Amino acid sequence: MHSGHNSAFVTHRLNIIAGKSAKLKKNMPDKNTTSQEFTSYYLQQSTKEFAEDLDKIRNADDFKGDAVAMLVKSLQQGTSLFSAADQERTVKARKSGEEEE
Amino acid sequence: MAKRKSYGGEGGHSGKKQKTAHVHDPPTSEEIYNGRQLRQLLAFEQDLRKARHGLQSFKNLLDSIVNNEDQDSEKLHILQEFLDSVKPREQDDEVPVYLPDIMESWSMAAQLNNENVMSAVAVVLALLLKVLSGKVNMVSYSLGICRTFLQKRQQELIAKNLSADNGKDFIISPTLRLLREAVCFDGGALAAPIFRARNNTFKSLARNMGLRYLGEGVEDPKRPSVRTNAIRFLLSSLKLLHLEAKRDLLSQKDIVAALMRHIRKDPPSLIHEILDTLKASVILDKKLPKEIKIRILNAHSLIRIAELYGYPEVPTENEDEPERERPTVEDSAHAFLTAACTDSDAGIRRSEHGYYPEGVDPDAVPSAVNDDQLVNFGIDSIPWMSKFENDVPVRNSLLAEFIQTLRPWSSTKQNELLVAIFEASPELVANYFCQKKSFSFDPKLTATWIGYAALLYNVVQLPVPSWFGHAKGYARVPPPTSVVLGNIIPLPMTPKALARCLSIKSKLASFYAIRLLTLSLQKLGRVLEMYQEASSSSDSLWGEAARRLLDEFYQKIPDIKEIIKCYLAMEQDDLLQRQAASRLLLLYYEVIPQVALRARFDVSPILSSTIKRVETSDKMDENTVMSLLELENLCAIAKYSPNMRWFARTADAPHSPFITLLRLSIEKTTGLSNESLDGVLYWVASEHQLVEDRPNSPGLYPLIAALKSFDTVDSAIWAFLDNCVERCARTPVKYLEMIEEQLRKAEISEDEDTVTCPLMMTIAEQIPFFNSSSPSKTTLKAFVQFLSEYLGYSLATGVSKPFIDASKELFSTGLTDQKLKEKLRIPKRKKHIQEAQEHHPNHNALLLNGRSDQAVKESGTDSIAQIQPQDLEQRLAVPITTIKDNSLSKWTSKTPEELVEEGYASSLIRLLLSEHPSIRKEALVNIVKVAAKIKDSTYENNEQVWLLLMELTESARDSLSDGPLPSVIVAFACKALDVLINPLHCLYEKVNLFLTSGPVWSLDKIPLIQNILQEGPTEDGAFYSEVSWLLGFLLESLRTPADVALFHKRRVPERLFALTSNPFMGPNLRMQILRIVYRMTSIEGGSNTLITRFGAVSWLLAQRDIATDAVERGVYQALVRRLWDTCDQKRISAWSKGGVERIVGQ
Repeated sequence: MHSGHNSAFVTHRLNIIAGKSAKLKKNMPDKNTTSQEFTSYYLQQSTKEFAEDLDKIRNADDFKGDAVAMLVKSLQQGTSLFSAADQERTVKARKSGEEEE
Repeated sequence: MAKRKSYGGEGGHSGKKQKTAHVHDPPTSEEIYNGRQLRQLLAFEQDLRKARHGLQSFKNLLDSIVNNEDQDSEKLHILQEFLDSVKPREQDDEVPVYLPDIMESWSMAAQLNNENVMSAVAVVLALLLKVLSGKVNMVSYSLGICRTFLQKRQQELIAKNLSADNGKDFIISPTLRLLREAVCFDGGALAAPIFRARNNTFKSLARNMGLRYLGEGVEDPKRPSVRTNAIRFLLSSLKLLHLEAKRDLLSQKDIVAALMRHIRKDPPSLIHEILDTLKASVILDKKLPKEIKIRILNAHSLIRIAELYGYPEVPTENEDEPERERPTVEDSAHAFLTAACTDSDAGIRRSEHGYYPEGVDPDAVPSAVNDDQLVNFGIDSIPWMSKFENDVPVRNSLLAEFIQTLRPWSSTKQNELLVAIFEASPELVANYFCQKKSFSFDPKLTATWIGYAALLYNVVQLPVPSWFGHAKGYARVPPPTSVVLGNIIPLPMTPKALARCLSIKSKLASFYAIRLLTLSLQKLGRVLEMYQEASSSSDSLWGEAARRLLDEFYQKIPDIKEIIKCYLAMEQDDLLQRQAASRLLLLYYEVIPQVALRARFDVSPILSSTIKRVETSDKMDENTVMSLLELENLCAIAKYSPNMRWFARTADAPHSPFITLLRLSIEKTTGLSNESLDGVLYWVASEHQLVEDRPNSPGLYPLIAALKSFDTVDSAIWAFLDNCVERCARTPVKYLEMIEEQLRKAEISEDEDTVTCPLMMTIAEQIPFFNSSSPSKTTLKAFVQFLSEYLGYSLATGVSKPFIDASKELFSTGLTDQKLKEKLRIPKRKKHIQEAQEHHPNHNALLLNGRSDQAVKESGTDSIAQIQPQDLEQRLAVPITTIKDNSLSKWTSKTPEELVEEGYASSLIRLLLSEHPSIRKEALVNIVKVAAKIKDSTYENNEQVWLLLMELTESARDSLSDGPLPSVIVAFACKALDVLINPLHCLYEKVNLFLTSGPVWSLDKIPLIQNILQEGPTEDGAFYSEVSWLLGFLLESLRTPADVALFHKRRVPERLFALTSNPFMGPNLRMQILRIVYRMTSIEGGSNTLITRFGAVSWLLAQRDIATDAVERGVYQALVRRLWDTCDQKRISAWSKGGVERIVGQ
């Protein structure tokens, strides 16, 4: 595979997983929705910023088994560094941006 | 005619062939029509072939009942008829034997070793019990049959069956099924007697549990292996046995080991059964003692269960088993292990002491410390304090052993398990990384490295246990520094690995390192707070430990310059990375300012470019928010940055950073919280005296409110304001004088209640220049409206009315157009005192710091903590280095390295302070000898050390007979020696220059003080390190009244006091100065000199009033008292006309 494809592949997989986890928790109250939406933004932005590195990891010999889940887990850990208020600001901005369009 | 059956095989599963190596004649059978026929068929026969025929026919009958082929209960009737006919008569003296004919056949088969019949009997009896178990009206038969098994003869038959050779599955399996049916009968009514007969009934159980399925693929659930049958029997026993029996059963080591040994190879259904039973009957059994539980839940078992992680999940094709909604094997194993390892009732987890290793007593202070005298031997007097760097003993040794076998980097579940275990037993964290030597965080873009990073993130994120794990409040002694550090920045996060993460060409590696360091700094902040809490409640060991923790932490983290370098190299689109890096930098400034301030980071260019990015983003989306978060961090950093040019305009930006931020704050409000941005603006405004800095001043609020009253603010007004704030900040005094003048004119006294505003004066001054730029009519109109609003909001928020009136006059004079003059007025505006108060700079300082997760130290606004003299002594007294006379002889056998680096030479030098002339002279001779020895050696620093020693001896020679050498010369020689052995020392150059500048030192000057305080540092950013060295040196230079006199002569206190007006001096440096003051007070005449010559009392009071922390204020206050207590009170009282007394008495 070419690296462009790889990058798209990983992004796709990550998005699927992020989307899946968002769906799983859909029934939870609003607080979690905000954090879910923020997580999904965080993952999207991560795949953009680290596309090259993510490709390299995907092509590493030990990328098997639980590796995709571990990668997603490790990427989204960083959301815990954002306060609930900052997460809400971000999610709100995303929504208002969508409404404008 | 009945179907032909395979011999002996698996009851209940007709038509399936048993795999076996034996080839025998298949058994014959016939259809049964009534009970009498059956009885005849089963009657005891010498010919075992006939017996087998009868048993096989019986089996067919039972099979059809079990398989629900017996539609009209006809078969069941035959069975009942048969059982009634063979029911033994109740006799008092004999225990009845049920089914005597079958038992006879069995016995005979056993004697003749007829395996087919031995198997057939077990098969039939197991089936029979199964059929009977569901029939309430036939309970008496099953009970009778089971009791018959418990008779000695039958027991032996069972034992013989059970211990058949390996490979005789067809005998062993049905016997185990038979036993299981018996144990389960009537809810375990007979479980206890069956277990009591365990010598026979549990015979070879461990061996049988080892006879697992060896074929291809997964074991067929319809043809369970011996192991499966044996385990089911064991599990049923575990479920149904009473406490005592269960205890005995679990104590059978071979059985427990056999259960776990092959668990990874077992079929899923069996694994679920095992785990479910262990959970229900062992873990959750509250009556079962913990020591029994860990017989089965030992490290070996846990390791085996952990092997189920990664158990291959085969999609089940069995449509006939609808209960497939069950969790996977991996999930069950994970849930089981999590419960077993974190719940203290499960028996595995033992209570522990968090950061205190097993075996230390954190409340025992060495006996030399006497509570009454509070002699402080420091943290080094605790024998275990630095013992645990390579190994940390723990109470949970079982768990410690177990977690070493996990692979948390390759499995998310194992990661979760390990983190859950760490959270439940924090003592394990430091131990784990000490043992796990193979764990290397050196960055590689592999899945394993990602796994490492994920684990480290989780570990650093773990909360600090309350009181560091000590029960009920803080202990007297803090936990070992290495353990605390191991929890804040775990061992794999070595300086080398972190530096590599930041420097290799991988955005991800540096991003992960930055996130980890952010967590570490947050945790450090929390831990330091806890140390502070602890130190106020007991002795100062905690204070010392906190300093040591910080020192060691500095060694472990990358220099802030590395972070800055990494940050500056980031691309504009890397929003997450930029946000993370700016956050980390801010934490450096907030948590460890000593390190942060070393790098003179000029934040203004990057602040400007970030402002630009936020400004130019055309729509408000999450990326803009991310940039805004970065901007907020940068603004907060800028507050700490002495080089920040808030009001300077650059070529590429229309306005100064301050005005740009002001514009952002007013314009970009959609859906955003601007609190921290506004906070920075208020802070800058009051810091640069644009507005008054006092509690009742509205600060920047009137200006912001006035600007907000416009939909869009004219660009000319922004330019005008930019000019005004720059002028006001540049020459605030000018505008303060203007205010005074206006107040004088209006004849109001300038007291605390008169609120004014310097910026308003600047605006008044600059209005004519706004006019002269010939603005358009609309602009002028807007301008006048703005001025009116500004005046209106100022009045509403409490600015003095006469001052406003005077300002309006000035504004009006500036405006040339009469019409405009008329339009200028003071409109009535609503008071928003509340809001204005909220934005007062002091509040905002809190708000800004509060944004980081650590709670901000509550600064009681005026309170002064009471610090007792002993407490002050603990904080500030530093013992004087003693002079050891035996140093004269000790040095001779040492190598040059040892002489210089292990302090032998320094001890010798200190002898020059001795009171006895003979010792001093002897010391001088010895120093010359040492110098010669070093010069002749190959020691790398030999030349410089020789030079130092010779200059010292030359300087000392003449004065030696008059008295001891001045302490300052001795202290300098010792301190300089430390510098010379370390070429990387920040003072290496200065000391060497000093040594080469002349052969003899003046005994009445203080070496290097001028060079350090006046000339600036040799290396960029080393100023504070140099000052710290100097302060240490000065402290050592104070021993005698003569030293105080020299300090007086050279005006040292004055220089030190001046140093503290530098707002960027860290608390540690301030503390060092206080220690010098304290030392002076303990020398005769020191306090007098400090009070009368250097104004120490008023300096201390001033320091006290600007301190933000109640304890700090207390220290200053206590030091004033100390001065008074140690001075010549009569003289000072007369000198100050009782002033000092009054201050102390307050």
